[in-house]
Amino acid sequence: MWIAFLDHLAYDLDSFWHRASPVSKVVFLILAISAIIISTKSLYLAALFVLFLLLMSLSNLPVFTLSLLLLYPLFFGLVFSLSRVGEAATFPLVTLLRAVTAAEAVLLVLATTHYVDLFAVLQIVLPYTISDTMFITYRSFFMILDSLRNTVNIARLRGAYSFFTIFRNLRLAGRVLGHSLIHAYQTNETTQRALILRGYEGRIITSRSALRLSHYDFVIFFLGILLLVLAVVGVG
Amino acid sequence: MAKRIAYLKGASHIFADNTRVNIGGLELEVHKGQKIAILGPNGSGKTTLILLLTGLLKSSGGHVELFGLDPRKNFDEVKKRIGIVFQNIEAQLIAPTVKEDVSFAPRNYRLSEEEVLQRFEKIMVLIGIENLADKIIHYLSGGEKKKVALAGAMVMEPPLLILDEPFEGLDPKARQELASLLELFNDLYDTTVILSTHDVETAGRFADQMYIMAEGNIIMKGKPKELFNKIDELKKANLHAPGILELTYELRKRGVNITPTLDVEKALGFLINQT
Repeated sequence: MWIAFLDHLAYDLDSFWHRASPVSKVVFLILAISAIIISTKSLYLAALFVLFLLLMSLSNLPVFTLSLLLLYPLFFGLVFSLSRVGEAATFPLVTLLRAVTAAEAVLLVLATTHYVDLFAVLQIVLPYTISDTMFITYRSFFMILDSLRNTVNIARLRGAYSFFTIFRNLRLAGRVLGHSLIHAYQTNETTQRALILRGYEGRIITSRSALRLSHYDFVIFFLGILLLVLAVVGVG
Repeated sequence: MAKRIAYLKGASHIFADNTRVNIGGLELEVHKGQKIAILGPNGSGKTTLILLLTGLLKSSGGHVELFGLDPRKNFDEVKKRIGIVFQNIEAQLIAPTVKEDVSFAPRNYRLSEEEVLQRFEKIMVLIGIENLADKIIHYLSGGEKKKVALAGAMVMEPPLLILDEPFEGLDPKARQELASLLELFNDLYDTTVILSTHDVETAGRFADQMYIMAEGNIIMKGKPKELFNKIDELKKANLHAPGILELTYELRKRGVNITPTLDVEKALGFLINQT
């Protein structure tokens, strides 16, 4: 389960990036993603990609395993890039690098931050409804993936899948998705009930010490600002 | 008589797909400090009853009362006095680590960090899971997850604890451990416990009052001993009585002077004396 794995990385490992406050990491993420959006130079984006890999490694994160998660944005970035072939020679590469580098920055923060603290910070800057939805969705998303995998396995064991029957497989995929959506809805209902009964009123309360800034945070702030400045002045 | 905590009679709810669940039959009346088991097969309306009682579902008729209030209209007031453990534990445990999850409610109720920690440590020791404090919840066993959910529900020391199918998926030892913990809370804090289950054996040992449900209706209520004398009615409600109970009941039906019991030693002693 990816969610358990990310939780494990964020809670059980230790590094300067883990010790930094979620406040600075969220600010860093915003600045880094802004830099990625602004930049049009593939070399700069490639440098960011390498930098984030280096930061992952310095944060004691399993770089190779986490890189597997980057295959999702890589795939969708590739599809989008192919659809825009012919516009400009560098455009597909820039699109691809933007997708993967942004996802990498998100992963770096997710795998080094206690996610309850992360959402507590996001709630400061986002409207409650959005942060609330994100909080519940984040938990549910991985649960849905698990449910989806289980349903597919059950369907296959019951002979509902064959490599050569494409239309039948498509029909099965629709059913599996429908089943998983209903399951997800029910799970969310229970989560929401549990949250309400445990005093949740649309705001995640975390310990103040978790949000306190230390000297690591200023390095992270500086790095984020530097990335953005480089993108803005045209180096990137 | 102790103070009345909960009351439900003739409540009903219409779900989004227009399915109407009526909780008919007898009334449910719970007094402070009682240990209540609601027994019934799957689909008998146990979960709906719990959701109606806690105000999480709106009743479209009948009478529902919790701590003397209409739980739906006074939800903010009653929710502080309820600890709940749902059947779907995965959906209930929302924080990544045990410590964060158990501390979730005290933080939401704006207790100081010092008090949050104090309450957390106290409940962990009481339940005997202090070794799990920093563990990632997803890597725990089913029994451990249930205990964590229980800790999260009891950390605010609510006067009422409600559990939906708490024994499901647990082995006999874990069931007994969980039942012992519920007894402990009942003894220590005079916590009123309401649980739904189809585990007749554990419920029979734990509860001092049982309600039997079938097809949305409360069809029987009474002390476990009284209900265990009506084993045919239990069977009609699709409840499988424990083997030892069925054996002593059948012996009695065949003219042997034995009281139906769940106590193996007692039954054994009687049979040895007879032979």
